[in-house]
Amino acid sequence: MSGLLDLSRAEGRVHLRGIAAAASFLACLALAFAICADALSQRLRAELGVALTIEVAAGPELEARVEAALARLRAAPGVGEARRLPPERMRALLAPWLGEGEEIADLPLPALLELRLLPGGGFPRADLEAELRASVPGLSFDDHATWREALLRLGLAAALLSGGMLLAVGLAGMAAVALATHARLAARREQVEILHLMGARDARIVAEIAADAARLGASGAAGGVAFAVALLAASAFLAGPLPPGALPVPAPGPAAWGLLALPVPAAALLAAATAAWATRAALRRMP
Amino acid sequence: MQSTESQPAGTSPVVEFEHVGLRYGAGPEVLRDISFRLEPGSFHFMTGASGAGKSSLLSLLYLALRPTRGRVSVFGQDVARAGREDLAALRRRIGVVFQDFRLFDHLDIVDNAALPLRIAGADAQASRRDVVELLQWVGLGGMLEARPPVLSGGQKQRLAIARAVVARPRLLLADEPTGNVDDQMALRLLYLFEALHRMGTTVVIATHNTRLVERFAYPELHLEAGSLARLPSRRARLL
Repeated sequence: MSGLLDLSRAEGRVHLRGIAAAASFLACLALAFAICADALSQRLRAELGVALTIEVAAGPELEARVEAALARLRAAPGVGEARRLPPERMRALLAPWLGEGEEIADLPLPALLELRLLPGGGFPRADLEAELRASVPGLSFDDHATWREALLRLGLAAALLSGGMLLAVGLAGMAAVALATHARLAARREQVEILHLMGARDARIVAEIAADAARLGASGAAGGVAFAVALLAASAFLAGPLPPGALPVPAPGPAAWGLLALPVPAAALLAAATAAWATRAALRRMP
Repeated sequence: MQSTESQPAGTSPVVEFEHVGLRYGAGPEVLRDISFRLEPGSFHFMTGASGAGKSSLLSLLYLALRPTRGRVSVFGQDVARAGREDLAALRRRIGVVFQDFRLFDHLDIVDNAALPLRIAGADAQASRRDVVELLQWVGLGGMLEARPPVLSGGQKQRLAIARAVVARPRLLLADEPTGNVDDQMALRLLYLFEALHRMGTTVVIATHNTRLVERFAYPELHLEAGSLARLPSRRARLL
């Protein structure tokens, strides 16, 4: 048996579905951006948090100073690995700026020590830095604090941006769903009025319209999300795999993919709530 | 003004109007100082020229409008003090035949007629037999699956009447219910209203059909320029 109201007619259905699809498409992209930005920021901060670079200035007895510093570092608690960046690797890194060949071999380059810390290992950074500064001349620590701070800010900015996008998409979607619902109600005003005059409870009329809006919202949103996911997958495919050692871009895991589907229930809920609100308001205007 | 019907002692009226006035917006009063009571089981014709206020008075009776002054009480409940749920419950006890039928084009004849039962929460399958029987009675038994757009004016009117009476309302209001049918069908429909009346339903029929009004010995609620006069039946007036 059909519902009390004729909600299968075309008026407003395409609008409601289209609005839900467009809003969910944008919300899905905003979510994907937020997920990737957050994962990248966390990964970089985690890497920088357990890495330390120590520079030993060029000068007399460089090799001896390096060996003394490495010996002390390897003996310290919380150190996973301490090694010197090989001179040839350092020259390769400087080549774009200083060129290759004999001239760079003669330059007095400092030695760089790479230190990988064990998470929660209790590395005595301040004490060890003071001790090494006193015992090894020309030594300085770089714990990447500036980078970590910058990445933290970048992560917050990305979260703020995607949150703002989600909010804007949500509000615009809500307003558009409300308009589409009003249009649907206007087209069925006589039916609603007759049911009202026949003694139908407001709750029953509201439930029927809200359930239909939820179905339309969900189906439209599913289309929007499917399109966004397909677009993201196509973008990832076109970008191709990054070379080893390049900036790491994390691939969303199953949980993140699950989050991308969030606009579907959200759109259904939003459409139902807005439709219920608009219908109640219309019914309240009836005696 | 007193009712012309005998009434059991202590029975409260189905409808009671006290000095009711109605105006639309800032316009003039279309109904002025209307006072009357409809006793349980009474039958009235509502008569009057076009524009006299019949449709407005019917709208007040089926609770589509609220009076701008005065007091309207339906089934003993003051309409002004009734909450939305109370009003919905009152409306479920009223059957209305609208002049423009107001059928649902997306529902077939059976579902259209069964609407009040569905609204009241009755089981659709259980009540189907009664609905079909009623539709056969009004001459629509051969087209149960048809939808309103393919019906003639008379068929729509009979369907609207079937819908109004299917839930055996305590108050039945009909606005020109015989306007689109021939005399024979008009009589048949009036007998249906009489049958309900005999079962205790209070009936008010707004009509221009003087032949019908003269044929049945029921009193009139006569409207003239927004004012109500209550008249005995035409047959009684002619004697």
